[in-house]
Amino acid sequence: MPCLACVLLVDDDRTANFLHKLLVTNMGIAGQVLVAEDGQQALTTLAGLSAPPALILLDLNMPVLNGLDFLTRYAQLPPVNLRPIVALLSSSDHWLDQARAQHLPVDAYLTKPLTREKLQGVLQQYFPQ
Amino acid sequence: MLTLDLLAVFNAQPGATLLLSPDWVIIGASDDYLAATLTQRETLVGQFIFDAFPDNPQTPEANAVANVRASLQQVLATKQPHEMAPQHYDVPDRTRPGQFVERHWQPRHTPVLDAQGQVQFIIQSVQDITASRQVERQLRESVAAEQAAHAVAEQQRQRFREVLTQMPAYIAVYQGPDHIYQFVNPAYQSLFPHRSFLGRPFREGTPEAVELGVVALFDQVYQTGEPIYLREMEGWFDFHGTGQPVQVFLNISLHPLRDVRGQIDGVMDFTYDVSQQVRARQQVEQLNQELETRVQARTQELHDANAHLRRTNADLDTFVYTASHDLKSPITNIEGLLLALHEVLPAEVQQTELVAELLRLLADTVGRFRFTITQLTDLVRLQQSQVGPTEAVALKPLLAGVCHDLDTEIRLAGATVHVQVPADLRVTFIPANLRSIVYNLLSNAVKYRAPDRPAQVWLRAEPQADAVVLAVQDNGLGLDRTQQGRLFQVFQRLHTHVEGSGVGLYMIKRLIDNGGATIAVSSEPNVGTTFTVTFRA
Repeated sequence: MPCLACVLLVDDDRTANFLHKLLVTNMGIAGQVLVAEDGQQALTTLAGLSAPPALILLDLNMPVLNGLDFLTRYAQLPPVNLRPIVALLSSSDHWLDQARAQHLPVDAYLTKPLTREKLQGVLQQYFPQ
Repeated sequence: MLTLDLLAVFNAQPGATLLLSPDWVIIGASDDYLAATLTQRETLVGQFIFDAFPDNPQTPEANAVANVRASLQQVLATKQPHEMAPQHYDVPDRTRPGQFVERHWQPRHTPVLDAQGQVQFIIQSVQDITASRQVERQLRESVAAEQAAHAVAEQQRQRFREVLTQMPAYIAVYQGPDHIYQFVNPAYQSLFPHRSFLGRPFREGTPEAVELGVVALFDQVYQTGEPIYLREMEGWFDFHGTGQPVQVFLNISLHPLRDVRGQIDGVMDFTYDVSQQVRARQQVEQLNQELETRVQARTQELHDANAHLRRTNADLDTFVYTASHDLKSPITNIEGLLLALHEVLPAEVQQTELVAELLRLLADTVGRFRFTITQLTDLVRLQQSQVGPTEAVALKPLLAGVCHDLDTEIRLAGATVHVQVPADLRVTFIPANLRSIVYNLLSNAVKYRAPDRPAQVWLRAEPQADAVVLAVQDNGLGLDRTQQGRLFQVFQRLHTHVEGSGVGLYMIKRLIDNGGATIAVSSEPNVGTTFTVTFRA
């Protein structure tokens, strides 16, 4: 099982954050798990990091700055050497379909609830070692 | 010694004279007499006077022979000359035997007496007054003709008055610049039973007309000679002499009247009452107006009701959307929490009979909740996104794709799916909607299989004239007629033993209707069901 230096969870739902953090922690795949409660907080968190996280689990529907707007703003930042893998999360296929249509830098689309299997699928695809 | 031939002298003397013996035989005739009576001396002389000049049988009233005989007898008796009254005494037309020429005479008989005082001769001297008599007669005739014409004119005038009298209109004739009433017909008089008109000026007989400006119009017609027509003039008249004017609407014609020299000397007023027609029309107009107002009010009500319904619908959509979305997050969380619980609970605890049952029931409840929310979300999505570009979608790859997506369900059901579709057949539709339709129909065909026999599903499609027909046939449970009627209504679940929300068929019916296609169902309980979708080519 690969160990990622840092995983950023972005979700306004504290239960979701709790569950995702629990899952990531239990799977033992991350050295550090950071949590932001909306897109704006996520941008602030990213700005404070010396190195970008390896994986961002991004919720779509959030107040202040939603997932898609966050991605648009994030894409406008100066490029970094190692771009994080972005997995978009939603409780609805429909929103994931809409997000797909916008051609944003998203690597995986996952429906909630997030499970061990779904997360393993992403890891196997993007972090095969 | 000069011998005096008296007969020759007589014959030659001027003037029309005839010389008769005492027994009235013609002895001599002057040339003028011969000329006047169209005769010749040799035929005349020796004839009895009334043989030579008989009565004209065509003018028996003239009686000239008798008159002349009486005069001659008087002269014989009195031996005095006799001046006769003018006589109508026609002479025979020598050129046309039996015919006479009209002659009028002024005869005078003069006796010639001998030495003994006896009548020796009678001289008849005549003056031809035919021309003057004829002129007189013509004059008489022309006077008679004039009188006859006058009588005819009078009769016609009388008739005209009768017509005016009987006309169902108010007619009056006025004379002079002050419009003095000369004639009013009974209808006119009966309008104002308490008034007398004849001999009075219009402005006094009908004082209401002054204020209405009608007197001025009378003046205008009288001065210009141009008729005036007024249509539906509203007037208030005190018809009953009660001091309370009554409203009427009148059509008025004013015509100038002229004397024999063509000078205007009067006005004729021809008026009829159109109050009933005007009021009837006004009533119809008012009714139309009221109707129009009511239609507008009703239209406004409908418009308001429509707007209200639209708002309600939008509110409902928003509510369903919000509800489904807001419920989705917590149910997802509950699902996640349940998963976490599975991870965290020690295996031996999970295997405890009660805990295992609780976890199973919890998972089952969450699953059903989630399914319902998914269907609700689908419904919302259907209402939100039915538009999109249509494409000519190749049917065979689409059916294969759907079969692949439903592979698990098909395998679990032990169903066999037969696809019989021409390779190049295409349907023009919104691709995602077409996919939803096929997905739902195939999913239903598998879901509602008969438990006692292997499930078989046939997917067939064929082109027809102006259409492509897609049929999904199964050998499943089937539906009775009542069930078929309720099939496409929302939240109708006909089979309760399997998972379902009753949204699927309603949704595809909406998609099919909106895409201009049709869907039909034929089914027999416990034999199978066939859904047939007909797409426009």
